[in-house]
This record gives sequence, structure tokens and C-alpha cells, in this order.
Amino acid sequence: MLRYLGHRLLQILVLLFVFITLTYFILQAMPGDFTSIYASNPQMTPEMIANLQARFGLNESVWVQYVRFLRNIVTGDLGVSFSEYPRPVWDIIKERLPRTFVLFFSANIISFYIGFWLGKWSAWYKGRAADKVLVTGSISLITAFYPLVAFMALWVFSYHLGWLPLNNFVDPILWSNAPLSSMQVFGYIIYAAVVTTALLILVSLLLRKKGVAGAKSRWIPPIVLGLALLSAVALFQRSGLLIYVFDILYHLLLPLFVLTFIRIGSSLLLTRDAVLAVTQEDYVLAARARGLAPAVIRNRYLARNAIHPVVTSLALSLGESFSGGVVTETLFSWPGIGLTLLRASLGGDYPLAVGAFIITGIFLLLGHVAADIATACLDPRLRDSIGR
Amino acid sequence: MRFSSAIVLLLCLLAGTSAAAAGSAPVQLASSTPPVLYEGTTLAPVRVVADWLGAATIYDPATGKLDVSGLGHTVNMRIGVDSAWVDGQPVTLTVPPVVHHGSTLVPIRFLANAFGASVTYDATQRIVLLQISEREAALKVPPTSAATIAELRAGISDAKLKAATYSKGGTYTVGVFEEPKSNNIVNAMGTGATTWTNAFLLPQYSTLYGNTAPRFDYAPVLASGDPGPITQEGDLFTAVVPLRKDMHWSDGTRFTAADVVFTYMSILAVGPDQLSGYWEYAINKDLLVKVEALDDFTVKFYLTAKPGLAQWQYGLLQVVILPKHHWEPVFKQALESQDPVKTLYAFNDANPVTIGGFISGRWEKGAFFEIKRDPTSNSPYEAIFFHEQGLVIRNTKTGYSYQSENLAGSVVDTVNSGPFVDNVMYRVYLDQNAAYLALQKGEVDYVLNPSGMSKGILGMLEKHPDIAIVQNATNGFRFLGFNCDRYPMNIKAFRQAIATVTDRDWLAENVLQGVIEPIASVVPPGNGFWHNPDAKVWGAGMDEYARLEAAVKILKDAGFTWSKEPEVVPARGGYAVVEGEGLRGPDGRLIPQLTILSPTQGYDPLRYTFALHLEGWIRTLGINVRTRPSDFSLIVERQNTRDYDMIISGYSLGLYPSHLPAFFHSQSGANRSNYVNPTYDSVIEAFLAADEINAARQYAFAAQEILAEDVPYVVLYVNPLTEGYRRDRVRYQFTELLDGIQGSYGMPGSVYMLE
Repeated sequence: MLRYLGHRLLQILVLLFVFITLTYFILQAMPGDFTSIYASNPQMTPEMIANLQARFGLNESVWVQYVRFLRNIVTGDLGVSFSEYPRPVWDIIKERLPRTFVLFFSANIISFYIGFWLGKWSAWYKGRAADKVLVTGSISLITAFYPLVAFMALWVFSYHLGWLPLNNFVDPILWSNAPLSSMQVFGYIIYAAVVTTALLILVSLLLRKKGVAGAKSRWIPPIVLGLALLSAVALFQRSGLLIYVFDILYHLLLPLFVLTFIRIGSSLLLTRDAVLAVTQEDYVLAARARGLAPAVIRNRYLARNAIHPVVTSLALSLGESFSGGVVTETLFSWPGIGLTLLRASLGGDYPLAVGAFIITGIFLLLGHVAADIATACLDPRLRDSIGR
Repeated sequence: MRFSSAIVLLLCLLAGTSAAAAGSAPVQLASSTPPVLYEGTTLAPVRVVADWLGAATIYDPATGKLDVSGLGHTVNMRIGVDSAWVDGQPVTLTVPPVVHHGSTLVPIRFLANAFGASVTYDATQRIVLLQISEREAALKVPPTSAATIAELRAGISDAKLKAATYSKGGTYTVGVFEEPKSNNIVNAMGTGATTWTNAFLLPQYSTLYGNTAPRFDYAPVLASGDPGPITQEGDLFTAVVPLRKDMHWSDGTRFTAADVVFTYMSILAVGPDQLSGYWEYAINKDLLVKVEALDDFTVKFYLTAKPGLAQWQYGLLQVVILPKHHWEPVFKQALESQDPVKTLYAFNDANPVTIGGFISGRWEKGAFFEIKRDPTSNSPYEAIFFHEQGLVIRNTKTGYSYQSENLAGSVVDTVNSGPFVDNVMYRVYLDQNAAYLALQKGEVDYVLNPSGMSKGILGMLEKHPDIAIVQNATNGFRFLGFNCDRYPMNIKAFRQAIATVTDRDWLAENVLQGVIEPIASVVPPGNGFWHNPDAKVWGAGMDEYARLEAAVKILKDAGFTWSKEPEVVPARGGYAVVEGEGLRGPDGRLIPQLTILSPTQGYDPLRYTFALHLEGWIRTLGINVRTRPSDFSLIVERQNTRDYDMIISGYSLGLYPSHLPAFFHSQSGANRSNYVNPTYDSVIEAFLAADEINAARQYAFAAQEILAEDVPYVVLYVNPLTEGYRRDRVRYQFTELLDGIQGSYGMPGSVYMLE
């Protein structure tokens, strides 16, 4: 297993190098550079632009810039942004990554969870009215024009009904005297989520190891989850942060809802297809013949075997969670990595663009490794082949 | 209430009790409504008394609220109510203010006393004598009711607004599309300069001189008078600038010459060319030798040459001044570091020391940023009185006053300096539609949009009863530029012919339906002071056919020939154009195929539309031309490398027309059209050398005439800027100005909130 992981990590490094190089040169190939924004300023003489280019090292050849850039990367320095000179690239990414992560990661998890259950259910009742509604709905969601859906949601829920905030992730009036920055509070939210998840995994593993099964154990994970959440709330309350956490969560609702809603379709259809593919297998027929309860057949025999492509897809999209999405970030004024990437690329801010690409690239590649490991854990045949 | 109207009082007012003023004759004030006596109290028209005192009156008929403020005092009253407030303290009146024959009358003794004036009543002559103390007299400002003018200009007569009254304080919320780049003013004047950084930081700082909105008169800000004459001292040229004695930084430290000397000398030490941005084009290191303090409130500039307007009034003297005690350690550390600029720009100025009336509040990255009113600032007590020519500035609290040298005519406009709001909250909306939804919902009072709103959004907002729409000209232009180095664009007649067939007015009216404002001058008409209205406009007043005929004549006169000459022929009920073919230059060479580089339809549909029509018009002259829609960055690159035939591009400009030398002087690096005219060069050199603003203006006018004749650019249009604000929440003192409200970053310094 370790050898396999090592091998995969090596692959990632090589891929990352190729990725960085390609990204760097594609960005450099774009006409103009960062100083192009000054071209329409009559007060900027060419000498002034040349001074600025010298400051950003743009007066050197692309190769010299590339080598210097690579040298910095190896030493863990992503450089400084041109557009926010002299702010370090890592500082900008560090500020925006938690926001992106909280929104997109949650949306992915929730949409997969709901999509998986609905897909399983839809496949089981294939051909019935409910199945037809779900399939039609899913296809509609996949083909829907996302910016329009998002804007309609904003218009209905925020502008017209006034239930949810119109945009952004905090309320300025509440936050104008907040003791911490929103970035720190995002950090705490992620921290609480990670601890809760770790706890849940630990409990599940323990339950499995101790051989506790059946109806008795079914309630343990939800109880653990409830307790973990309650303690988080208590902790936030004690530190006086609860109101700020709630404010962020309140602002999160609409983008999360829209993003989840739009993504459910694909995971539903994926699960449905995967379940349908295994429905015809002999072992399912045998299970039915043995007179097992439909829920058991559905959950143990079908879902477990159909989960393979779903988990792969989930792991990959979790990796993608770190790259954000331009449309969501723009419409809901949720500034994250997606928009940073777009603006830096278009504005010729190479260090920031490449830095953001590297970070998202790393997460994407890690997502691939996670997908491999997850499928290996779920499928003993693969586990054996990896173990060797 | 019954008035004793039989007693008609003559209102006489005597100014001053000092020796000098004591002997002066009383001034009789004109009033359409005479003072009246009621239950032993004399009531007089509030405006007459307040105007004489130099105080501003705000009266709202709907609520009966009557506020008089000035000379450092505020009196709040209400019609028919006998309790009032003087400087926030409650007082009881013997007789409440009343409305009588359409005039608002107030107890004259109470009002006068509140402003430090005394009242004597001569029963025999039936005269009321008002006397003002020496101190108050020094603070007195000209008799103009500032708020009344502001009120009228803002259209407060609108029925819905009658219920609204101004309030001091409140939060002014502005929707913005991006965050600032930095909280550090030195960075903001350098590489960090963006609309958003400026909106955040510029209201917090001041310069020695500035351009005062809405007319953008050149006037002192931290200086106390006009700069002294530039005189030669040995090899150097010097000029003395007097400074204000009544200014202090937000931490209470007094503003002195040391701050000014520190600012210039520190920037020189780091190197303005290294700092880039505004530092570089305001402080020319080859020009400025040093700045010296003659005393605490006088500085002397030492220069290597006699500077022109651009380098002096509009350059060196408009640099943001830094507080020495706050920035000195930062500069020291920067100069000791390996990369001083980087160290300086990286400084996190979380607790700044400011002088502009505002001070940074919270900046929640990605969500909002805030500026708060500096409670110690004397700026809210200042008023600017624009005369027909020149202006007067008075501060009623500190007694500071300034008057332009060329002051003439009566007061045409008054602006009160703020801030009048407690804080300004800038909320970041990454999507413009969301920002305008927020405006409709009342979440923001104004959306700061440098490009103005689109037609679609305008249609939506126009229907909203609480949103006011304002439209202003922008300072900039879109143009068709020729590469004057290439054949046949190097022939003046060729460029003139194309300018003649360019019917921008027709296109603006019929195709673009008023979305643009067609202009033909390189200095937009909106920049009234510098724009030459008499510069030639090719084809002015002609229709399509007359234009073609005129253009053909220009080409023919210059020796151009055709294989088939373009002509205008009678057609059914009118005329038709027969396109020319095979145009040859005066030397007999066939005009090659030419290209117009234009932005794509996606990037700018307006410029793209113009390109297509220009192509059509130029084709009628028998010129084989095609439009090539290109990416903006490619256009910029081609312009920089001068690799194009014709190009459609645009510029945003400053108030001072520095683009006249920059774009058209033959030796200028930014002359991207390769235009060369020695006469123009000498005129523009004289323009640059002029140290007097009116002389410079004459050269600028001459330069515009030469450019109109030579046509290196065919100026096409300017985008008018349409903006919207909540009229039920805010009131601006003026909304008609070049570049609109956004040009002054939402005018946080002078905006009022309505109650």
C-alpha cells in the first residue's frame, strides 16, 4: 500500500511540474502583460511602464522568469502578486481558500449524499412515475443554464421574498465590531467540521472493529454527530463567536442550496445507472430468491456494489471543490479561488494565477489519489492488487 | 396667534464692535416680510437673519423642522413648538417660530444670541439693531444659505421628498465591485491605485492644492493661499507655499511644514520612479531638488527648471501629504531594507493617521470596507462659495478663509465640506446585477460603478420610485486613430476625407439611440475650461451625401484619383451613393487594402458598431478597408508597437489635458499614432512651459485647432455615465459634474443622509 502511495505521489509531482510549466507558458503566451492596464493612461509614459515592468521582472526573457519562478516554487515561495503588489500570493490564496472550501465542499458532499439516496431509490422503482419525475428533473438540472438559475434564486429568495441575504458572506453591520476576522471564523468552522468528521469515522471504525452491528448501532453515528455539533455550538457560544458563525451559515444557505440543487442531478443519474447495472447480477437474483427484505437487497447488495463510480466521482469533485466556480462566486459575491484565478489570468498577474493553479492542481491530483484509495477500500479485489 | 402688524420695524444691522468696525454705518437688510412684534417678542424672517449671520438654514415645510447652522453653532427649532435646541442643549422659547404670510419668522433675540450676536431695540425709532462680536464677525461667511442652494439643486421640491429632512450622521452605504488593493496610502498612490483603493483612501488624505468639485476650480486644500511666484535663485528656481495653520491630523497632532517637507523628501529618497504610479508622474526627480521649511507654516520648493502647469500646479502641488510622525519610522525601515519600495508598499497601515475628515474603519476582506468620520476634523465647518469666477473658502470654526485672486461676479453655487455622515460602508458586490438589486432593495444607497449602468439596468431602475437617475459626461473619448507613418494615412487629406464621411451624430441618434454622446474634440466638451469649442469639425451639419461630396473634393484637391469616382446620384424620391472604386494616391499608387483594428462585439459593442459603420463610410470613397475585431490586449500591443493602419480605441483623461503633449508631441513615447508636426510641437512645448493657467489654456486651444486640422485621431464619442442613488435616503449637494458621482468616488465628504 505504501509503495503504491509513493508511486502515486511521484506521479503527482511529475504531473504537477508539467501542469505548472504548461500553465506558465500558456499565460505568458497571452498578448500584453500586467502593465497593459496602464496603456490607456495618458500620464503613463513608456519609460514609466518600463520601470514598472522592471519592478515585476517582466523585462527579462520568459525563460529567465520561468527559471526564477521554478526556483521559488521549490523553496515553497509562490512569489508576490502583481495586482496586489507586494502581497504574497500565498497570503491571497490563504484568505480565499477557506471560503471556497466551505461552500463548494459542503455543496459537493450534500449533493452526492442526496443524489446517491435518490438515485438508489429511483433505480429500485425504475419505470414508476416517481422514477420518471426524478430522471426528468435530473436531466433538467444538468441542462439548466446555471447563471440564470442562480440569479432567479437570488431574485426570488433574497429580493422578492427577502428571506435570505442578497449576497456576500457576512452582514457588515454585525461584523463592523466583530472580535475576529471572517477568515478566522471560516477557519474555526472548517476546524469544527474536520473534528466532527474525524470523530464520526473513528466511531464507525470502532463499531465495525467491535463487531457491533444491526439496529443497535444504527443510532450511534447520528448521536455522535449531534453531540459533536452541540459541543461545537457550545464552544462557539462560550467564545462569543456563535452569532458570527451563524451569520456566515445564514449567508451560506442560498449559494449552498442553489449549488447543491444544481449538482444533485448528475450524482442521481450516476447512482441510478450504476445500481441498474448491478440489478441484473446473479447475486441479486439469489438474494431476492432467498427472500431477503427489499431494503437489505437495496442497501447491502445493490448500493454497495454500485457505489464504486459514485465514490470515484465524489472524490474527484471534492478535489475540484478547491478550484471554486466563477459563476457562483460572482453572483453570490462569494470571492474565492475561482474568481481569483480568472481575474489573475486575464489581468496578467502571472504569480497569482500560477500560484492559484498550483494549489487547485494539487488538490485535484490528491482527489485522484483519494478516489483510488477510496475505491480500494470499498473493493477488496482492488485492495489486494494495490497491496501487492 | 395675532400679530401686532401695525408696528413696522426697520431691520438695521451693525457689524462689529471692534474699533475698526464700530464706526461703520449700520447696514439695512432687505426683507420682503417685515419683522413683527408678538406678545413683546420681535419675530423676524429666519433667512434674513441667518444669511446675515452667515449661517445655513434648512426648513422642511412638511415636518416644520427648522435648522440653522454656522459659525460653529447649530439651532434646531420646529414651527409652533416652543422648545428648541442650541448646540444640542434644550432651551424654551417665549414665542415659538411661526409661518406668517409665507415667511418663516423666529424670535430674533433668541436666534441672534444663539450665534453670539446681541440685539438692541430702539422703541422710538422702531429699529432692531443686531451687533456681532469681533470673534464671531471673523467667522462670518458671505450671506448665502448653503443648504438652500443644495436643496434646490437636488430637486427636493419633489412631493415625496418634502417629508425628508437632512440629518447629521448616519451610515452612507455604497455598493462597490472590488476591494481596495491596500490600506496604505503610499501604496495606493503607486502600484495599488484603483478606483476602489482610491474610494477607500483618498477621502482620508489631503493635498496642498486640489480641483474643487463640481466646477473643479483649482484651489488650496492644505495650503492657505496661492503658491508664490517662481523666481530664479542662482542655478535654481524657487517658490514659496503658505500652509494652513488650522489643520491637525486625526490623532490631534498639528499639521505643519515638517509634514510637507517630510513627504517630498522621503519620496525623493526612495525614488518616485521606483514607486511608480502617481508618485512618478507627480514628482519629477529631475525637477525637484528639495523642499525646505521656512517656518512652521511656510515651505519653499527648490527646482532645477521653471516648471509648467503640469509639473507644478497639477503635479508637485497635488501630492498627498503624509503625517511625519506616523510615516517616518516606516520610511526609515524601508530605506534600510534591501527593497525599499517593496517594504514600503507592504506596510499594513491598520491604524492610520489622516487629515481628510475620514479615517479607516473595518476592512473585512472580500465583504466590505468602511471609513469613519474623524470627529476631531474641522472640515464640516467649511463652506466653498463659487462665484461666477473664482471662489471663496471659509471655515466658520477656525476662522480660516481664502479668496481666489481673480474673484469676480456673485455667488453662483455653495458647497459645504463634510463629512456629514458618521461612516461610509462600502459593500462588495462581485456581480453588477446583484449590486443594483441591492440598490432597489435599499441595502445600499448608491452603486459606485466607473462605467455607469447598462441600458437594461437603467430600464429597471427608472421604474423605482425611490431611485434617482443622474447622467453626466465622462472625461475621455473613443476614437479612430491613424498610423500617420504608413501610406496613405500619412497624407493629411486622406485623414480629413475619412473624418468628413464619419457621421457620428447620425450613428448616435439613429443606430445607437442616444446611448453615446458624439464628440469631435480631443478635449471633451465636459471639461469646459480646457475644451476649445471653436476647433474645426469636419462635415459638421452635412448629411450623408454632402459629406461624401465634400470628402471627394478634399481627395481630388490633394491629387487622389479613382478608376471609378464615388458619386451621389438621384434615386427614387431622393439620392443614392454609388461607391467609388480603385482609389489611387497623388503619386498614382493604388491604395492597398487597409485594416481597422477594433474591439470585439463582446468587449465593447459600441466601438464595434462604430467600426462597422466606419468601414462602410470609408468604402464609399473607393478604399478597400476591412474591420478586424480583436482582443483588447492585442489592440494595446499593436498600438504600442505602432503596428496597425487604423485603430479604434479609447482613453480616460484627467482634468488637466496632459494627453495633448503625451499623445501628439513627436518626441513623446506615448505618441502611438506617429503624428509629427513641428508647429504643434512648439505650441505644446509652450503649453508645457506656461506657468500661468490662462496662458496654458490659450496654447491648449491652439493645439486643439491644429489637431482638428491635421486629424491624427477622428474623435468619435464619449460614453455618458448613468448612475442611480436612493433619493429617499441620501442627498448630494450637487449631481451635475464631469464623470458623475463616481468621479468623486461617491462623494462621501459632502453627502447628507435624510432622516
